[in-house]
Amino acid sequence: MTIRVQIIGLLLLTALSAQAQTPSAAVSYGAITGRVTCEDGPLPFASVTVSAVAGRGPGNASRTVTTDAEGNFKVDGLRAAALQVTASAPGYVPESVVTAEPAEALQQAFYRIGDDVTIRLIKGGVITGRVLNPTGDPLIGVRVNAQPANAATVPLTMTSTEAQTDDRGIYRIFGLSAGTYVVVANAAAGGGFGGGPGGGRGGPQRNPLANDGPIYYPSGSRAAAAEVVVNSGAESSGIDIQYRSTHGFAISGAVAGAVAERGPGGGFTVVTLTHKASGQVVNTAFLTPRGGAGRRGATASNGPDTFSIAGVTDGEYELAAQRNAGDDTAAAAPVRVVVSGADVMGVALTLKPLASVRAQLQIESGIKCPAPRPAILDEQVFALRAEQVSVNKLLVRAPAPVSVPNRAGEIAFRGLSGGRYRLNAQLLDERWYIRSLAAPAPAPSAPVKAATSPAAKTAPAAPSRLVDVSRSGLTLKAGERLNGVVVAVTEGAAALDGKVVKTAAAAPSGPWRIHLIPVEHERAEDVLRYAETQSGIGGAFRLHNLAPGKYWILAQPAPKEPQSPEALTAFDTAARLRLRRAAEAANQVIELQPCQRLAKYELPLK
Amino acid sequence: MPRTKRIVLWLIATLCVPLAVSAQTPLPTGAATNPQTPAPTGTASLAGQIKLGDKALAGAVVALASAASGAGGQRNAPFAPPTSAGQAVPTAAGQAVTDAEGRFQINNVAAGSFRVTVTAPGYVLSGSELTVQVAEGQAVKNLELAVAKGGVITGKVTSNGTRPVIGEPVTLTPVDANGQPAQTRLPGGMNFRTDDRGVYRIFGLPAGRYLLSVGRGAGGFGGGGRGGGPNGGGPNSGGNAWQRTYYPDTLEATEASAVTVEPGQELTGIDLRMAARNTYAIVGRVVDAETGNPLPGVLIGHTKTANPRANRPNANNQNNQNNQGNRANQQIVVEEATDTTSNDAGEFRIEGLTPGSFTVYAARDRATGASEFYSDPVPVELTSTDATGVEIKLVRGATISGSVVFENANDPNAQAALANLLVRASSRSAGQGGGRGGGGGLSSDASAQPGPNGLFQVTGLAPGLVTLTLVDRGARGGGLTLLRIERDGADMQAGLRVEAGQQVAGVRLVAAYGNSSIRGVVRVEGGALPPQLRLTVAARRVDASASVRDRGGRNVPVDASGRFQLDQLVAGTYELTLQAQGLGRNTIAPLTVSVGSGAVQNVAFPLDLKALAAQPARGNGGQPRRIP
Repeated sequence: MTIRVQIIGLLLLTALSAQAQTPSAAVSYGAITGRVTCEDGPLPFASVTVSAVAGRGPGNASRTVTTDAEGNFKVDGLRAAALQVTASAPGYVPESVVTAEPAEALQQAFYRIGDDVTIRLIKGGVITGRVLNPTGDPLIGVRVNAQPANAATVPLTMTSTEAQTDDRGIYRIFGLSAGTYVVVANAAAGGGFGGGPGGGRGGPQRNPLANDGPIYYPSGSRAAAAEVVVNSGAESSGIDIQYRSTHGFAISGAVAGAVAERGPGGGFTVVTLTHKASGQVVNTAFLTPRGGAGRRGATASNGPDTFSIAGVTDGEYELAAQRNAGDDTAAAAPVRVVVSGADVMGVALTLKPLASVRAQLQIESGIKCPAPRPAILDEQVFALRAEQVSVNKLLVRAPAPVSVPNRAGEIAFRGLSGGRYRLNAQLLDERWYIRSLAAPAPAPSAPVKAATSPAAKTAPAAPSRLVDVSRSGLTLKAGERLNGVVVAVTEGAAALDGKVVKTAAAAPSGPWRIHLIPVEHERAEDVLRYAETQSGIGGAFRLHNLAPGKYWILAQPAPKEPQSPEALTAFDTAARLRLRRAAEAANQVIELQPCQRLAKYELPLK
Repeated sequence: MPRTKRIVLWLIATLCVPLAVSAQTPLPTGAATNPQTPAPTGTASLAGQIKLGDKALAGAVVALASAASGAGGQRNAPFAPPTSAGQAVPTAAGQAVTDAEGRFQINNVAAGSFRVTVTAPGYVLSGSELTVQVAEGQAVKNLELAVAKGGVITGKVTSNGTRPVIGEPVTLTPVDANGQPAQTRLPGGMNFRTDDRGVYRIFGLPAGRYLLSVGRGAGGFGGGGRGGGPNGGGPNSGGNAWQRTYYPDTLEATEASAVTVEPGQELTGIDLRMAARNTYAIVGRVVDAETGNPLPGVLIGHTKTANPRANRPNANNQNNQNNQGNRANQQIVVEEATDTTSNDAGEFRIEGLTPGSFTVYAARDRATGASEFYSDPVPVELTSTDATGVEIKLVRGATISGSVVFENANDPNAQAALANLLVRASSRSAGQGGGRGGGGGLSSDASAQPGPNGLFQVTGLAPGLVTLTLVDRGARGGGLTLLRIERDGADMQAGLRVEAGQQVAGVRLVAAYGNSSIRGVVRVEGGALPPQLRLTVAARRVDASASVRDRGGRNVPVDASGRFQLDQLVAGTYELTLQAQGLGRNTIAPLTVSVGSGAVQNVAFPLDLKALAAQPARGNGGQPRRIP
């Protein structure tokens, strides 16, 4: 086993980072055009938002436009950057693939100026029914929510949707993504009475049901909730809730470290109450340094570091907290809370810093590929894909953390739980490929005593050597700040457009997983040289940002489970070996030249 | 925030129940942050029953509203989407919930005259209103109020007969037989919108005549807000796409026909067809005034102004800093947004605008406040076509540089606070009323963040008189006082005059974080304070070294026990003024107090109610705050 060691001299580093600034110096402003469609064709008056992946910077504010009568839109004057484009319209939901892993449910697609984007929305599903009290009379003006039945069943673009019962007790929740839901009546937050708990300013509570706990369909606590399946665009009716007044209880406590020491505004801390069995977040409380306001009606906080969540029914829950304050992100490990006929007070949550990764992008001078405009750093997206997250699951459901290099070529990921991660690149500029990935070698394991002493922590770290991490991934301890990761990017990447062609009638039909496997034996362990994608309509596929070289190309039937676009079979050692054996046996070889755009390639399937 | 819109609130106040209510009974300063309301302490009680036909109504809220205040419901208030502020619930003098037999009992009621209100979503009072007079210790029994199921209006909203229009708010305005606004009291707190089929259903209506409309106001009433989940949409999510339409299918309120709801009636088939709003674009480019070269990446904003007299509501003068109206021509800003950025050819295009008077301008980046240019807003009149060829000329502006220093240089808090400070510069040319046409172009306001050593540089200033202020964006909140503005030892508090393109250096902003306190108690003589009266104490620094006028001024509420506390004051001499709702600023003689550094000064503030009563009253509605 050979580990490629790179020692980068200070001189070389300086030269490279100076070079890294060159591409970003070119600032350009242009447009994204496109259209929004639905089942019936173009969707007029839909809202389209274009936002930069890197977040807000000068000229980077997100922009929202409305599609015209033909469903078209154009957003001009956008600063060149990796951009995300989303569309919304009342009653419609994004067409999305539901996967087992919530972090992948939101397929992230990135665009850059000059791109033309088609976004498809589909009519959302409906849940409707009545809310009746024990005497059979309708409950009027009661809020009813549809919540994902568990964390994984509904894409995370959709969190919760709500409606109010009318004078007949009828509610109708629309614009739902397909999925499995639980439906809950929150009489305490009823609109017909003005203020809810702690409600209107200066006013006493006017809602007689203000202290009631939520009642889930059909007629009980969260544990007794029945699931409601919503099919795409379909209506689930007759979801009648038999209301009964149950006393909700309060969970209160304090969050140590809720107020960040640094940063303008100090960020905010969010406390989440999760139903243990389903993993569903039933309530959240937002704490701000100024003694913030609660949200979702049933929540209020009294100070910058205390919280109180009201209206919780009997059951087993987990309380967790996360602080988001720019660089200063921290999380508290979940605390188990059992509510059983009484308020739960004095729950203590302790925020501990989350791990972070800082990497330096090194743009190596290589072959210059012809291109209409210079490469722009802001258009390159890097993502950390959690391969194994050991400590605790990420609190706030979010897609893989993404980062865009800054002007100095620095990439930063924050708010990470401890675990193993793989760095993924989505380089919008097809000229570049990742040549190597290195991180400072972990310090030789020191005796436990030394590691925990404060002196050991504060001692300046000796400049450590870099080791290749393309195969191992980045392993982070809880709260670790891993700096000095080096991502070497070289110009001269090739791209391959092709399609799978069946040469035998007996061959299975698609979709296929298309793999590229480096032929050279010395590249066998170089994970960065492996690439894969899924075939689309008619067996078409596209692979890009490829290092030039000689590859085996292999098509295998795609797994039944939807694959994340970032999935890489070769990351697993055993799978990599199997892949090589299969590729060697099939022996379909392709050689890619620097900057080559190989089109109309036909991959025969035997 | 995409396409942030600041909309002057009072133009739409008629649409907005909470605003209308708060305008009638202004909330004293501090009310929002002081949730404790004194518990009713009277000895009287009221008991009775709520009847629904020959049955009883359980679960209704019966509350007492002071008959004098007129509170307890909204008069002449149309349905409107609720705002994030929620419904303004006036303080009840007592309340109870009816039991299974519809009975209620309200205890601890103070003597007085009360209107008895009943809140039960979907129901309305069927009899007349009830006002009761109770004496101290009196037990009023057997009150009876009759309620009935409210009326319903339902229908379907489509775009030209076919496609449902989803998620649009439906608004009702009560009118009398002559079509004039009526005093019908409508229940609040409900959110009526069309659903995924375009169907709406408004319920709990008192019998009467109503004008019905669907859609948001022309100004882009984007506040439709929460409650709709993803259906609620963003600030521009189709909110402006549809023209507000009145029943039956007219765009003009004057051509609308009222619908009549009989007691308990369900009025069906009130269908509407909505048409898309005709919108236009302002198209132009940004150039360097000197060279004529196109400038890419310049943030472009617009404001739309209108004459408020056309549809002036009676509730105005909200405390709105954006209100730059009340000036010549009575033009006020009804829409303000940062829309776009110029592209590589310097071109920009602002879309989705409805006809009106606009100004377009180059805007400063909100994140940094920096730009080396300034520009004058360009007026654009938009009628029924796109406005093209608009040219925004950018001029390289003047620069002011200097440092922010803290009087107590050793204060570690002060050093830590530097990162949160912003130096803001406002430039006004001679004779300019400020904010040209309300435009807020690059000329009006610039800001810069000082470096860790306190050095700052504000760029892109238009020639004129520049005033400097310090803004604390930190989490600590409050306490920052700008003591002096100096240049070469000279006092610059009146502002710095800068010429075109001038570089002004060496400006010192001397600031301090106050560490002194004044604690006080209001001693009431000659009677008891009315329970509703809220007092506040305003403090203004008056000693000789307070060169920046009114800096360090503070306004705090007086609590129920008559105490008040002013913290984070800079050492010095302060003039304390006691202010009460309905009283002029100087009705009560001010008090002068000196406090040393780090000290706590205790004071007593005498308030002689007898002497006060001798003075002419100023009306019980209080003085609406005027915009300076």
